[in-house]
Amino acid sequence: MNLSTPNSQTSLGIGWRPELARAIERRADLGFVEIVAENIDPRDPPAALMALRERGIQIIPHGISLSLGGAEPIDRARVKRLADLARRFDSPLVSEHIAFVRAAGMEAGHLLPIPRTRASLEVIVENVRIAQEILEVPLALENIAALFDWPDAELSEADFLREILDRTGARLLLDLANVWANAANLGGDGAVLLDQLPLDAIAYVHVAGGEERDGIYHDTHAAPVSQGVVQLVSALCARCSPPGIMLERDDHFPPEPQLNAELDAIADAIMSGTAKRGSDQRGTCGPPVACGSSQAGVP
Amino acid sequence: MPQDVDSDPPTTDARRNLARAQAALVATLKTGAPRPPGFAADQLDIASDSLLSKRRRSLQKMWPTIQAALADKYAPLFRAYARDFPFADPDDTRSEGRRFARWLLQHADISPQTQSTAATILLTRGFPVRMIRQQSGGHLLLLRVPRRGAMALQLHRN
Repeated sequence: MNLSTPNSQTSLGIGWRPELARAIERRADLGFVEIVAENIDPRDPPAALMALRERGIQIIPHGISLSLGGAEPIDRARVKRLADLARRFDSPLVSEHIAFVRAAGMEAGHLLPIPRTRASLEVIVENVRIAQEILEVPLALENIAALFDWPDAELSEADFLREILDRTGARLLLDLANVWANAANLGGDGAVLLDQLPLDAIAYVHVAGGEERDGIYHDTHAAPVSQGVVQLVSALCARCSPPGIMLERDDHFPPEPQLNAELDAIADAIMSGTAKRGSDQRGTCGPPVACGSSQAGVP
Repeated sequence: MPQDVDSDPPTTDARRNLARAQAALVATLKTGAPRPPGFAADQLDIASDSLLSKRRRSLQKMWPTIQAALADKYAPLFRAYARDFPFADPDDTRSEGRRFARWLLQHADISPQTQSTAATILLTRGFPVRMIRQQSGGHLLLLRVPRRGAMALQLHRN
């Protein structure tokens, strides 16, 4: 996959929402947009999206309801919708989450974490493989923000993720805001986690804002991106060049100049991180990792 | 051995145990059922509140009028409603709007303005609606139906 624009190794993107359509249309430097699969009908896509596609902007369908980490067999109709969208937009890949959203017919209403056990690993790997059989393009899997831990974890977050990716060949949609949120709420250090994650599997990266209430960081996608998350963008780009980094904004949509300022801040963080790597490279560090470069079978 | 695309995977012990654990967890988060062993109570309380608030925000996004009409009472009333209806299809906010409107009219002590807003949600079958003019004796409503355009509706009050 190549999400890059001619000017940079890392392409800038944004989550397409009807409320942002006009601002997105007017922004010239976007290489890709992500759409929420559940909200776009492949038979009747918004004209604004088709216009972006005609301009050469890549469109990545992103599912939120597959429940790949769920114990129940996955719903093939939901996978087929992702496949239909990918075909409609000629997408280079689709994405979903390492999470479950329903159990025994009960809808949780949001992405929930799965236990990091060997048994749970077997189930998600099997579900992902079934989804991959139906999809005609690669699948990228996203790390979620969790507000609680399952007891009796047998693997670290990084090892669990790596095992899933290794055993399915899926790629990584790295959500830096979720890395930030988990470090804030459950402990750990986001930058340290970056060193443990399989960065060479990154397909693209999510960045979003959230808000702190009563000492808990909520990943709402309804506020400006926090400085800590912007620093993680820079820290990631100091390690490697991901094919794409995008902003997610789902509510309290800002006026166009503010939205542009947020995208500019992400672009600046990409540049400053990449520049840092340049100087390290002349020092003692090894060659930079090109994220996504080691994955076979991706166009 | 390749998995047959059209057949579900066998129900292994791993799946059976995970199904039980996930169902117990979702029941705790959504209905306040007893907490499964090993989880931190404070973490699950926060997660449960977060699920409720996400659900409430998606309703008020589609129906800002109902939040405006209820003001401070919106959040506590939504919490009480969610105890009666703990589950909702996240892809169907329209149904949630109608169910909440019906619940308000049946259960809550609400102002005439809120009653009118709730009745409007039911009348428009949960489609987003924008009131463009209010006349004495009735409301003139402009309905925006997603991807199908707009229609005007005159409501009369006795």
